Amino acid sequence: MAIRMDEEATIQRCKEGDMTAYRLLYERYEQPFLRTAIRMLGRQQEAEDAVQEAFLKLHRGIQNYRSGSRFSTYFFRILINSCYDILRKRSPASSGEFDLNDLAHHPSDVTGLRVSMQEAISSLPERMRICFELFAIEELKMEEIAQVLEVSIGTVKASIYRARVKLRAWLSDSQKETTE
Amino acid sequence: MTCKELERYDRGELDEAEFERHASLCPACQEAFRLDKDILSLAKALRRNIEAPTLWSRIQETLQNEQTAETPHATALSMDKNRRNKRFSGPWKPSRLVPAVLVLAGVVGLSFYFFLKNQTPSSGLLAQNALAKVEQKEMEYMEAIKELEKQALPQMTSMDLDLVFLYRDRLETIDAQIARCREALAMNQANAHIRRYLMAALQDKKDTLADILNAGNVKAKSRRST
Repeated sequence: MAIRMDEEATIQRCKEGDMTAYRLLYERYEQPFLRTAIRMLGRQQEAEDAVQEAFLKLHRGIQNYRSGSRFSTYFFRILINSCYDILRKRSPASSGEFDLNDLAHHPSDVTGLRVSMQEAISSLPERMRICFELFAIEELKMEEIAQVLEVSIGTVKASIYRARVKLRAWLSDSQKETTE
Repeated sequence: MTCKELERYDRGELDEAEFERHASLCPACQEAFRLDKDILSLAKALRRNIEAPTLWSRIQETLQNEQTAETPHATALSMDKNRRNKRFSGPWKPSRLVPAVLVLAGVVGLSFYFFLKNQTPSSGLLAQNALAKVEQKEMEYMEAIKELEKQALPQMTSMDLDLVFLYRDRLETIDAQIARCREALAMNQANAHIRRYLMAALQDKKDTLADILNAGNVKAKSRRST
């Protein structure tokens, strides 16, 4: 509740054009936004462009934002739409080039299971993958995901449950392979 | 063998607490429950920081440029006020300027009236023509989409579930985009930016339906050959 009130004050300052308030929003949303955009677009440069575009759209539309709705959902939806805009503008030839290594590799990652997990998630169908990532990695509630992606809560639930079944089968196989 | 309770859990008919209670008595479900926990903790481990050292400065620059572009009117007003204050302190008193300004305004107003009277309203018509053309193009897209829907949507019944799910979601997203554009256009029909978005969304929907039709045809062909 305190965070929400803080955020409302920050948004009010953003409406007045206060750049330090935008900086506060940036500090709060930078990481979840970059992670989500990289997962959707596959490339860090494009992910940064999407985050920049999301801030620009927020700046242009912030006077219309009403404090009753949840800001994080509103802002996430702007980001997701910015990612879709970039995907739409992409040439078909470059759409298959993905580089998720930056996201999965980590100096402490000795087992490689984390990399395999990233690959397993990446192999899920697009909507299923995005729903699962927002739920399991960014820890958004299912209702929030439905609002962010502008789909029904039923679609979100079905996507997450189906992703769970697929990943369970993948993990079970991986664990069997390592014990054999 | 899969436990019926696991199937219910996977369909979302059983919540996590209920399933956990059941899993404590059922070895197969216990294993599934353990795997789910592992998946969530592995997923959380993917949540790591990404370095983007120049991103904030880029955003700040964009926002500041945007603010500067928004404020020239305000700046001009304030400069004008300063200038006026300076001017009024000299020999140019407002009392002397008022009649001159009134005469000038009258001359400018009359000239503008005659100018408008002799002008053909070509520029307004051009905008109207362009709008009509865009609307015509949108109608063509809508008709093509309607035709494609008639053929493509029945094909989905014979597709793999994953593919159906994927296409259905894609169409749902595009429809939401189209609805958003229409909502924005209801306020300003001539917003070229939104028109472009709408056109892109319509094109996207047409392409997606064509993809569905294609995928359905390929499936039917392979079924016939086997």
